[in-house]
Amino acid sequence: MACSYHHKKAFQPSIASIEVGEIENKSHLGITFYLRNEGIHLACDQCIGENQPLCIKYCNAVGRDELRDIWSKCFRTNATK
Amino acid sequence: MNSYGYSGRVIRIDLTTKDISFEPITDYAHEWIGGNGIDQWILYKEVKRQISPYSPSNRLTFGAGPLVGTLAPGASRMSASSKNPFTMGIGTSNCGGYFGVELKYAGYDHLIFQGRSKKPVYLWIKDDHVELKDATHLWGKTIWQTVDAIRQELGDSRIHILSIGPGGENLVRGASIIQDKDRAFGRCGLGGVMGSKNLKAIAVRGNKSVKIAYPEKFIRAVDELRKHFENSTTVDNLMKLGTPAGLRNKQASCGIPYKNFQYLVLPEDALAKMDQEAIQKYRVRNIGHPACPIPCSRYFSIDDGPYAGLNTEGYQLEAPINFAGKLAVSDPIAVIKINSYCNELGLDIDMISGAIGWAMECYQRGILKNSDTDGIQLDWGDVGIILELIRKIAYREGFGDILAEGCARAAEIIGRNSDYYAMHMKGQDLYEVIRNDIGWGLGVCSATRGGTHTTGAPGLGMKLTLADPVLARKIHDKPVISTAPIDYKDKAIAVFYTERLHRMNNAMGICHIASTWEDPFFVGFPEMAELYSTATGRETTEADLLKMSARMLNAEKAFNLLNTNLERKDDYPPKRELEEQVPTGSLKGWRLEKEKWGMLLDEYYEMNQWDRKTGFPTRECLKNLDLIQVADDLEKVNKLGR
Repeated sequence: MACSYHHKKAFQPSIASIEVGEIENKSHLGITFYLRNEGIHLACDQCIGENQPLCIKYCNAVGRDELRDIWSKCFRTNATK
Repeated sequence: MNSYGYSGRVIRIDLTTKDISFEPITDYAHEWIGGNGIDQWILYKEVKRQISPYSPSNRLTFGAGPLVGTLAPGASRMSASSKNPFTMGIGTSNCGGYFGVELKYAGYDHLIFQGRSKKPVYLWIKDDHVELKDATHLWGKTIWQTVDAIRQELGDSRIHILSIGPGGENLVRGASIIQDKDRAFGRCGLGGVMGSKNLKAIAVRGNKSVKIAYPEKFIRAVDELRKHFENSTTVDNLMKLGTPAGLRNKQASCGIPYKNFQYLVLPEDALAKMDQEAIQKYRVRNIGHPACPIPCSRYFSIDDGPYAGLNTEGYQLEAPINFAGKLAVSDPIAVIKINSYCNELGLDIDMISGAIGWAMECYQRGILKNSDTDGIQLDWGDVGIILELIRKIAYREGFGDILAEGCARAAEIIGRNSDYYAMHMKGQDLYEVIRNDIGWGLGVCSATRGGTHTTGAPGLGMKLTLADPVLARKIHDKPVISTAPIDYKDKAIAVFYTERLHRMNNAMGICHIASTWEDPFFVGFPEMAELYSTATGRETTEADLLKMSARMLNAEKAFNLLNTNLERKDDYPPKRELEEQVPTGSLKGWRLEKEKWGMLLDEYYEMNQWDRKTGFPTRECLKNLDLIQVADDLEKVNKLGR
């Protein structure tokens, strides 16, 4: 939701550069970052122009640290998806 | 009007003709905001007087408010409304989760169902594609089976679903509608209304957007609000223990209806067993819905003992209050199991514990015998018996067929003076203790939908707000001083404002827990006015919102008056709550007084510009709210206040 706001100033998770799901009986978050445009998903630009990635900023307190770790790992290793 | 904030459209589905049509949200939005506000005005205008809730001409509506699908804190709630099978008046329920958000992204704010399908069907919404699909193969399935089957059938695990289980199919009066697997539109028996229409489920997936009129201003308002949720002890407590964090407070204030309200505290050993440490080891993680700043719901995976293999979200405060309290279950894991079984079968836990609690007390007193109960010995706290009774209720088998009517009607069927032990408000099973907290109790007793604390009972945050001369300015211009629970003073005004706050939360789509009901620093009227104005582009003040909340309340009240015989006497607590002394605990010996309750009602009615003698709205009240048509309608049936 926050990601789409960064891209379009509207709320539209279907175009977001991040997809969050729950896996293994909701024990972990399943997170996908889109680093290239794919379907209607827009490539993650690492929230250029924002003070911090909006997905992390607006994530609730339960998932924020987990998401920050995944985000850091993903962009440090430059994974494609 | 543009559709900023709103998705813009309402879907009307006639299940008799299979006609699906679309209406602009502008027909309703200016006057009724959204969610329950719009839902209930639709009911007022369209539902013929005095029909059965299960009549094809009854309406079943769902609404996601203008803030749902945005980053407004807590904006993931959705309303459902219909004629109430318990009271025959207004029925409304509210539920958090993904469905409302997804509905907005599909391009719709509200759904209106009318008619009755010949065969079971479900509605599938994917953006502009809206289709009624055959559900014959789903009829008879539990909620959990239905959700899995629809997701598999449509090939998308991210579809969100509202469905009914056997409870709704069999018109159990307290049947609920479940969102995905574990979130309930619990109260007011809306699952049975859905079942009466042969509507098994609604599935939705959306790829569109919710647009904002002034994005920068809106996000600034969101950011300002979010600061109050950071480093908040309220948030910390709720995240650690969920809403059951309040269990010890309930115990301290005599707020637990132990053994069907015979006592108002748990025995100390039972309280110790309910301690959260016992269930923490099964907690997998907390769950937060979109835009939720307080992920207080928890997901459990039980991997040992008699319920091994159970994976479920749940265990809000209602679960231990209902099952450890009303039914005296002493095992917290069993409480999780019972709660999840109700979700699986699509049953309201408040009604289930109300009906079974009544039966157990009648059995304890010798009013019910084994010959009444299919030979079942109704011992307090027996988990096996409780699960079996729940199954029998869902399928309306034997004694379960009587309990499926809820405690008030079950007592009518059985007779033998068993009605004294039927704890209900306006015919709907009661969850809340009334006599330990007069403000809370008045909110419960005056609730238009028949009991319940989420349409006007002041919570802790509301009390703190009202008591603080600075914070109180957030909601009104006259600070209220007394928040002492067993003092009649100032309770009418506390309910007056809470009724309005709850209605506006539900209309906007904001969770009560994220509002000033829970904590004075969370979302209140000024914040909602700013969020609504910047989201929709329609400049709206706190005063506007207060007026619109009052319109909602009076429309509900009028719906009740046109459809039922409810009046002033129905705003008194049940006899036991009104007449019995508190037997044990911190309030031992305390008792409500009928005369003082009457004076409280006088004050509350007068504040609302309702007739003191009857509780009916006056023409002046309705005129001030631009509801002249409602005044005329009430006058025709001699129910306009003087």
